[in-house]
Amino acid sequence: MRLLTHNMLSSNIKGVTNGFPLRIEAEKVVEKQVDLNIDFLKNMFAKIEWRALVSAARTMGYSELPEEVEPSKLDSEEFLQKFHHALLELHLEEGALVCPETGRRFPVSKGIPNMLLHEDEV
Amino acid sequence: MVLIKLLALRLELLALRLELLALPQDDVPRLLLDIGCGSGLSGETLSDSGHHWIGSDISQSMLDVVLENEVKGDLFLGDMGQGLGLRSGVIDGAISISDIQWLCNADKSSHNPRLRLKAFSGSLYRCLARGAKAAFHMYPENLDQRELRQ
Repeated sequence: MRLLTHNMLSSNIKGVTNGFPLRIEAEKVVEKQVDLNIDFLKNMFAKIEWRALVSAARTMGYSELPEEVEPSKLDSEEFLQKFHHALLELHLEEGALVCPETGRRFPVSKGIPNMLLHEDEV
Repeated sequence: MVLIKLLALRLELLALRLELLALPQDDVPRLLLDIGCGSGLSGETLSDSGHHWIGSDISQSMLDVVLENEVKGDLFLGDMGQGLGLRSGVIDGAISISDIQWLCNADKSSHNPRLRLKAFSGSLYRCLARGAKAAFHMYPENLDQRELRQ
């Protein structure tokens, strides 16, 4: 699971008011090289919750992202490389995503988060 | 032979769905959602079209097949009838070539098809970006299911 996906996922448990972002427990992280596409990055930038991405990347062992960023940074190749790397090249293979309100763990195995809710959570 | 025809049909349906999404023809990769992505066949086509995608399926064994095929999309195990669990306005388009009528099946006594359909459609609507579209088909099994869809 890439951080792109992590930035989209939210805890869906009944009664939870803000299930985003899910906290990451990283047991195994893998880096996979992917071609950079500036248009995609610029398109996604507006949708990304930046703080969540920075924090998630740090948990995965990558601390190069700036805490704050203005849109003008998108013209910087150096920034785009870091943004790209964090968003698309870091994969959580084993670990868990944790609901920020309930602490409920959604296990991640072989890169796939299990987001299935139990009957009493729906 | 039948299997190949079925495959071809599915790919055609997928192509149709992609068209229905009416994504801008600007070569900008989008973030798409493949609901009930199953074996990853449809997702592969999304990747070939240059898009990033997230796939969800309720079946671990299906997703295991996808893993074997090393698809480029991210997958998560999920039940669409529980809600998609995605943030608002982040998806540029959603497709499904699986059969959404599964939502209408109340396999467990605790399932309420109406609530499940509502959870699915509500969460789908929310996660779509402005102007984004969802394209899927549904074959109602009976009159009750058709009413549910409306």
